[in-house]
Amino acid sequence: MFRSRAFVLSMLWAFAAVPAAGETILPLEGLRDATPRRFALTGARIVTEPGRVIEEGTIFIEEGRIVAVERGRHARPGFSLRDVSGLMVFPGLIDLASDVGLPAAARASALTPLTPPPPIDQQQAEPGARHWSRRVRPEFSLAAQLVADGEKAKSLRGLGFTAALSLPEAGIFRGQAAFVGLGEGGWRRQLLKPDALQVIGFDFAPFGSGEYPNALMGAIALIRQTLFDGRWHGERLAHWRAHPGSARPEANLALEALAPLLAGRQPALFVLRDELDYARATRIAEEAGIEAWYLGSGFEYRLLPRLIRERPRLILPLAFPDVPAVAHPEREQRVSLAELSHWEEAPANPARLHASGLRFALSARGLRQPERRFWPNLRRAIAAGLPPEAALAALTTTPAAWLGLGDRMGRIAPGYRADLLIAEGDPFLDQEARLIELWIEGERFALAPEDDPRGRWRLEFAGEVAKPVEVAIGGSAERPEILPTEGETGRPIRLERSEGRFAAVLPAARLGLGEGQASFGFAIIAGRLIGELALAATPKLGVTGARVAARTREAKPVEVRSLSPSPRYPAGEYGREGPPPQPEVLLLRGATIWTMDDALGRIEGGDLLVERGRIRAVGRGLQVPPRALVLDVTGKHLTPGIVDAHSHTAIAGGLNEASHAVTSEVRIADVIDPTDINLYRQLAGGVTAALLLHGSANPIGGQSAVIKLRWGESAEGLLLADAPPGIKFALGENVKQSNWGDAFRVRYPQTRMGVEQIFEDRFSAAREYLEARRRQRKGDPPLRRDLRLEALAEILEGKRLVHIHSYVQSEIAMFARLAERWGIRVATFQHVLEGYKVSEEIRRIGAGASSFADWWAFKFEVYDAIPHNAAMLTRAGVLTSINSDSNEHARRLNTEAAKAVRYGGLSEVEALALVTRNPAEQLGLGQRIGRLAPGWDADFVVWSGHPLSTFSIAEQTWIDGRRYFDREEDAQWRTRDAAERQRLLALAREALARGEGAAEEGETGASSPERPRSFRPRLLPDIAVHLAALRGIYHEGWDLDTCSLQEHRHRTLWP
Amino acid sequence: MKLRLVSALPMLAAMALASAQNHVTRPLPAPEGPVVIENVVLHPVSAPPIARGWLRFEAGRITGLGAGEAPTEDGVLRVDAEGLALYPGFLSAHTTLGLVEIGAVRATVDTAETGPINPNARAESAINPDSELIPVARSGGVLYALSVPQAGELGVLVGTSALIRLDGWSTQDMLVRAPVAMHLFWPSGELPPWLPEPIRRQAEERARERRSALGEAFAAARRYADFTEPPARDLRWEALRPVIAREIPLFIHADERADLVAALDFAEREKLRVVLVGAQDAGEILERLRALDVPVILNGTHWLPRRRGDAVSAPFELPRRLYEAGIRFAIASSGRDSTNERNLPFDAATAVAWGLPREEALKAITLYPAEILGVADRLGSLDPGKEASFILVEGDPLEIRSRIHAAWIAGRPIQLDDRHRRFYEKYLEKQRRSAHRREGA
Repeated sequence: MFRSRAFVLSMLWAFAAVPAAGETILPLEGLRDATPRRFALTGARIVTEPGRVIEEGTIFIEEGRIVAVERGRHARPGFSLRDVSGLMVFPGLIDLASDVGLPAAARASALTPLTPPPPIDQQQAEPGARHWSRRVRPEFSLAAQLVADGEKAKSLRGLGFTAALSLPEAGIFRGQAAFVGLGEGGWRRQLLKPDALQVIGFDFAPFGSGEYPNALMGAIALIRQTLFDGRWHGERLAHWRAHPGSARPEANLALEALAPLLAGRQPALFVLRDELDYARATRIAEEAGIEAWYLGSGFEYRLLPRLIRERPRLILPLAFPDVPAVAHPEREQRVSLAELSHWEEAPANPARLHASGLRFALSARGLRQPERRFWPNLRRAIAAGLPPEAALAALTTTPAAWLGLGDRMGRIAPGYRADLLIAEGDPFLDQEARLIELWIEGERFALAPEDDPRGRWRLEFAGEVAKPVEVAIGGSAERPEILPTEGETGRPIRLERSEGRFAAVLPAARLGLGEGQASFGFAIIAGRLIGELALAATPKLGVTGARVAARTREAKPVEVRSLSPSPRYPAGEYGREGPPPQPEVLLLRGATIWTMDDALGRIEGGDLLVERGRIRAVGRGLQVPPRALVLDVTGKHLTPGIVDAHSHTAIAGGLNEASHAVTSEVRIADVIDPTDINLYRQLAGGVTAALLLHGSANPIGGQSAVIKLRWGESAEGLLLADAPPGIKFALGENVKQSNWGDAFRVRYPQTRMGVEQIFEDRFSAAREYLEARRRQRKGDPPLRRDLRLEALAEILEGKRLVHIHSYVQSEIAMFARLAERWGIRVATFQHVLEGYKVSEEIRRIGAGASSFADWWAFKFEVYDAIPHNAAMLTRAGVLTSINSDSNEHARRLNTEAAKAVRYGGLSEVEALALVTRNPAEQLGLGQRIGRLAPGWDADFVVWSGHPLSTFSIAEQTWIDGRRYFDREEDAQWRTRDAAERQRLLALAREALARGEGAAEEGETGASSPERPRSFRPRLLPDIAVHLAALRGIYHEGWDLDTCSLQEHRHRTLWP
Repeated sequence: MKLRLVSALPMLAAMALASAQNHVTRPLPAPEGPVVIENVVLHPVSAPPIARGWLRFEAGRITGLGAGEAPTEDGVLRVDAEGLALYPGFLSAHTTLGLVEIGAVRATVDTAETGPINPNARAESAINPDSELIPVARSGGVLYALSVPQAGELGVLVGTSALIRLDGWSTQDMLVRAPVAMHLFWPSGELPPWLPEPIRRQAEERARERRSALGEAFAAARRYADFTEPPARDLRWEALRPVIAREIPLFIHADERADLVAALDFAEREKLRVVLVGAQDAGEILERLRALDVPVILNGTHWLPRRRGDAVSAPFELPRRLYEAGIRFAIASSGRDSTNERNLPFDAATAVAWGLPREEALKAITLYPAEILGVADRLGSLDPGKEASFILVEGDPLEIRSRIHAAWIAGRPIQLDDRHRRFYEKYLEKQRRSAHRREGA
């Protein structure tokens, strides 16, 4: 990697040391400030760095730097002595993920939705030669834009932080982060390192805003394209400079600002939202050859094996989820087990990573009410097993070292910046510890009031008008209270504090002074209380007091408890502990086997022999090989696993990049969500493989992906990487936006005529792109790699299969002719509900057809749909399948196929082929899945009865010879999960009873400042659909396609 | 097995003629005089099946049925249904039939009035008897449907429903009863938890407003009901009068447990006759449903579990759980736009796959909805005195691969013809001709 190189170079600009006196350029007005700035802090227990302690020592500070650290109590002439006996001193803390000084323009909220939808070159009207997308602004340098932010700096100081890396938050390429000190005196004095790193986040616009990107996959594509563009731009400029007569490239400050990143002179910090973003970011970084750091999501414990292999630089949040909302029994079930277990596991995230030998930084980012939660959360992390030294390292030496400042910050040592945190007690271990003061570059900031009035006082009254009396002051140092005397029933009385004086009104009786109320005001001077009283009887009465008992602080140590990590994945419900075993040899005996193979046919009382995930033999009375696992499935039916040729399951961050008419650069494979519970639900319905398609919001959508439903695997583990690549196209009402509402009348195309022209135009562009690449010679200006055209070129080269969403006969016939003209391989016409009217046109170009069983009339273009479609296409010689396009239908595709027997009279084998062999062949996987024949993958379903019967259920579903679903195991898991759930609910109730804050309903995990904003469609069901891209992983599994009252509305936007 | 309709030829000829000559399905005349269907497997639903028997009907009503040979009688049209089985027609207890033609085309949608309180809206005044969706539903054996207004953006009290038989020249012909029930769509604040907080807040606020509008509506309606002759007529409170008087039931549409609980609280406070519709979380409140004797109309079984941790089969097993808990229930179809009411028996079949006795599943789409809708004296089973509405099936009607050969509604034979069959036949002809051309070439 580039790590070592990066910081040697970027260290050129780093003012970690204090600007020397007299070196400021600020013209002087009035008199000089020549106050000596030399201090000796003595008598404290000094933790000079993680794991190193001086029990009683002295720190000498001069002009903001530590000049000496010595054992014992010492004084030096010229150094003001400050006695900090009994206190602890730590290096000042560093937060690598702050937002101090961030101007409003760099906040996520700055990117309000654009309405109406802007044209693509939306930046034309904006100042400067920037990127066309307002979400790509790597040239934004926060150091130059920092705003005065005293409150935020003060708040961070209150937690013990002395320096922070502030991150821009708006957009995708968010700009350059600035590392600053948290003292006072303006940013010239506090800026320690500008442009420390480039911040990248997976940000996108709301669906329907028209702005690109509006889905996670679009954001990823834009990041990739921009990084390619950055490299190309540099090379192109260099070529132009070397060839003065050649054509001038266009200017682009954004791309130029990527140079340090691309040259390995600075890292990119990827802001992760969940456990899946990590893999996405690493893939991008590897492809682009850049160094990546990661701002963690808090779910890193779920990625341990991978993190141990890759040892990334991670910044972990201390924002842990609140107690789940379990107070209302009738709502309690809305809290998922996944959410409950993350609530329990989150505080152990740092401990787990530490135990695995990983180094990381910790951050206060995302904490609501950090002043109440930062230290308690840090102690929760320690209680969960994070050694306090590791916690300190994650807040001092590690962040300093990563920024290349390890030799001047993060420790208490000579030559280091005088950044110190002084506490009473050890805040890492003691819940009652208090932060007393903070030193930033030799400047002192009080964190606690100097005069703490708490304790028992003996008060004497002037002139001895009354007998001396004892008064107890309790509460906190910041909010002291006069406590009731023993035997008295009154409440504690707040003492108002103002400028070193305290005051309260209290019953005179509490002071032994008779009736009425008394005003009592005092100061504490040199340990003595000096004040006065006002009473009805005595308007002015002097009081003096001596402390007879100091407040004695009782340490409340953190209790460390270890939590055994759960190996389940996905977390929570139905999580699997590793892949199911793959028997070396497996024999299923006695079933009716639907081989879907012409030669083998349907075998009654048949056996199926599987070896290492492949089918070895199918037939009657097979020999039992040695060591075979034998399953008696007499009376059951065995079919190939169901293949769903149109699925939107397991797609994170939106299934439509609906902004531009052509988005061939986006890839479903980038956004696979292995935690989608619908994977498991569909396994339970016998589905083993699925074609995951982009939505149909534009004529040329994104690249598709084929998965096997290996529940429990990672995103990569689901992908069938060697499946022929595909892409989604679409025709009709959705792409011409005729059912999007009246605001959408701008984007080309708006008619079926225009749809055809888009294809013609982009294919022409792709052909020219291919030609340009072929013609490219050494010494020519470098060609830009265009991911959008590249995917289209692959179609022209026959390397990428087209799956085209279509309904009516005119558009089907149009595209068939177009495909013929361009020599394009059309794997399937999808939906193709009027396919029965033009079956000959479809057959002639060798295309397949993949249809709903019987949906119709939900919008105008499906009014002529008939349930006989699949049968008629089959009869016409078209390779036909029945798909789900719905998380719900996908669970019973076997009976959807049965409808082709009812309507149109297919044979039972022909009907079953519609959901097994035929879709497998349409995906280009006919030689691998879709049949039960020797050599094919052992993907099969054990049915309780006839597979086309409405009374049958899938009992087992096997993939690669592994039992991924089993009715009995399912029942066990439900019992297991219910018990786990009860245990966690009990814990949550206890936490609520203890007064720990409850989550607002719906708040899960760490707070997520990245989430938008103000997009308000009118109908509630529409809200869910429009904002579907925001739905995080581990969701409840609602089918946002079809779930609501407004089924037709959803269908029109999403299939 | 073939339908041998020896003495029914004239009637069948009429049907065939109508189908061939016209592209619009039309009501057929009722036979003159009594008809006996014989040599048939009878599934009265109200009684155990009869392996071989007969059923006689006349003037739209069933007049007798029994095992063995039918009594000999002159002037009777005899239908020999050897190898076939007779079932009562299905009743779909929650549809929008006649109110929606194409969901995405606003001009064809008549389900939701504006604003929250529309108790006076009446489904029967908007039903289109010539909807193409009606013959499609009928071909699947659904012979009766409750047509129900739906909630729009703000809808709470959406109006009254109408029960129609799916045959007739006009809505008036088709009407079995209206109003059947008042429909309340419970204003739910239960939004997906992942929605951004401001949006959830806003939606919850709006749900609260709509709930208070509901409470105010009932309070006003009660004040109005105190007058036998109110000073001025208020259509809304007049429409609520029979609900308050418990003359018609209030059908409350809700799914999430918290909403069901709140809806039942409301019904108890207001002392109303209620039926829950949807009730996907009914399994979580079985005790209370039983205690209050509240019936449930399920919107099918083909929906997704509501939560990540719910049993994968929770929707499939809900009918069985209601049955075992002794709660009255019916199964309506799961599609919300009524284009596929024909799949109603398959929703019921899935419940059988998951343990509901088959006879119960049949009742859940015939007799039980008739009972819950208060029309069991006329519909829902093969019993003398009830409307002569039934289907003649080859195989089990709960199985997709079965075929419905004929159907009668109130004694009239109906054409099992629809938009789909017409397109099918048209393009079958195209395929035949192009196959000829290919072979010829």
